[in-house]
Amino acid sequence: MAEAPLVEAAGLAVRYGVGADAVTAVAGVDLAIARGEVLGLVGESGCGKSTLGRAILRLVPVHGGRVRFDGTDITDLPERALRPLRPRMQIVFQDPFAALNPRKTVGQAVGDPLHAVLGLDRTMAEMKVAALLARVGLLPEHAERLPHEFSGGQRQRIGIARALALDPDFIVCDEPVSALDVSVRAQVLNLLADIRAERGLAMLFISHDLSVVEHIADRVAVMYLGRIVESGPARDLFAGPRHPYTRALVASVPRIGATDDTAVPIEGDPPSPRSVPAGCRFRSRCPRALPCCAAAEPPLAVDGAGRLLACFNP
Amino acid sequence: MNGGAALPRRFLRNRAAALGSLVLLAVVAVALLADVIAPRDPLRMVARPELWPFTDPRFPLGTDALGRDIMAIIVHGARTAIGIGVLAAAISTTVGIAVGAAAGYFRGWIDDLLMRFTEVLQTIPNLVIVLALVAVVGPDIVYVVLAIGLVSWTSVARMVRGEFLALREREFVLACRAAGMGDLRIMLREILPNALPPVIVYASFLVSAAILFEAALAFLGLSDPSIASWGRLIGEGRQTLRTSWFIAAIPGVAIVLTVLALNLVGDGLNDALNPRLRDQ
Repeated sequence: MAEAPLVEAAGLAVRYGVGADAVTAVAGVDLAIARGEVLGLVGESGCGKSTLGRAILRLVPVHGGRVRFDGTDITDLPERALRPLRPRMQIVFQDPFAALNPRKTVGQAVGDPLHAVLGLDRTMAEMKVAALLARVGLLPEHAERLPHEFSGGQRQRIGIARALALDPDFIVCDEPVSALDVSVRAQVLNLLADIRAERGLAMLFISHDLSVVEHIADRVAVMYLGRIVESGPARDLFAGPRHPYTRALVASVPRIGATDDTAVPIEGDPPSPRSVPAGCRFRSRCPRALPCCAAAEPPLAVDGAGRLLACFNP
Repeated sequence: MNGGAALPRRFLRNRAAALGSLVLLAVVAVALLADVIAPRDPLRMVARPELWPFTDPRFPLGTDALGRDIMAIIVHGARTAIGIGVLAAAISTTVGIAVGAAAGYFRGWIDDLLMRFTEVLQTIPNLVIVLALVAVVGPDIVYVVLAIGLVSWTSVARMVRGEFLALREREFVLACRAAGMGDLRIMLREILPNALPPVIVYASFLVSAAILFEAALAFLGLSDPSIASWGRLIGEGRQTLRTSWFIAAIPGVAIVLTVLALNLVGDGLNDALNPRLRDQ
């Protein structure tokens, strides 16, 4: 990667709550996404994936570290100064029901940012809305309808059209297909892949479903309890996971002919983010934990295979 | 989430709400037509004092201790009650929405400041504040309306703040922030319409509370003396309660009916706007 990354996070931390009740959802994450690259972010529910995605877009307050977008440090930019950059980074949400204002028509949901933010006149905005709806597989007359008249898959298409409306360079896809029926999942996924290829979009593609990420991501980062534990090119990482957590995740995906004898399925729930184990945070569930794992937290470092890995005993 | 026609239908299927709206419509009609029904100044003495109801067809509800037509006072009092109720409720809803929206949307020190102020105001009984205000600025009807409106916004503010706190984290709002929309636009166009249903319900209770407030002030003789008022008539009727109890009772019935109707309408609106709560 000679070119500077489009999106870059360094030591990013996000806490919720104050004092003794504070929960660290994201505990120092480094990542970089190049132009046109799709980074898959996988991990269990509650590991901080969505929070990380929202922190990168400055939709939740950042408590530590830096976020850079296209060379600009946006970590401490006041909202007013950030506003001109916002259209270039958009988000598609998981829940297609919560993602749309129930009292606004589809045309308003997709078109309002066009004249409120970009200053397009009404006719221009309407034409663009029609084109966007067509692109995501909806009809121009759908612009007149309210969200409750649509299925989950259709609403997700509306959400995608809204994210595309401002011609972004980067989209955070926060579990965009997890809430959808299996039958429409592939359609929406293919739509995202096509649009990404057409527009050369960079994406942070968040999912707990490895098979979904494998389908669309160039690189994958694995997150556990607020930290990245392993990251690397998607194909390599899925073919040869190195971190015990990644191995267990990969082994849990049913696959014909695949065998990894060394992978032991992990059990139980992740510890509460309120009481993260000292040392390696995966230690309490790790089948390969050593005494040294309790002493210090393994840093995320390049291993022999050119992959980033945070483990003392891979 | 409701279709356009479903809401009124669900509202009117509720019998109490339908009855309430009927009574309320009647009161509003009387208030609007006050000058037609009783064209003369209601505070003018027109007949023998303490004339019993149904004894003289020209004064069907009798006369008070000063010989004024009770019917005319009731009819014009309806105008006072509805006018004060609606205006005061409009003031308190507007102030409450502004305070609650700012506190819930911006959070932080703005929230702390506004909510501490709201709480301080809530700890003082409203009637005491209104009495103090009216005692200072004088019993003009404009000040009475302002005073009532300016003490009753606290509950609206807390309600709206709660809605804004919840809605600002909703994903459709995040999407608008991510698009770079301005705060005012997000507050007014995205959040407020979704925060309004409970406020609309509460506004009907505010109207009835304001009517009771004015009645209380008038009863104590602190409302505008140049305007026909139900509360004032009750206060004046108190002196002849043993001989001519109807002077206090008739406006009393008018207040009870109007306030009850408003509360029934409010309950009906609540059920119609929040259908899921009804089954619990």
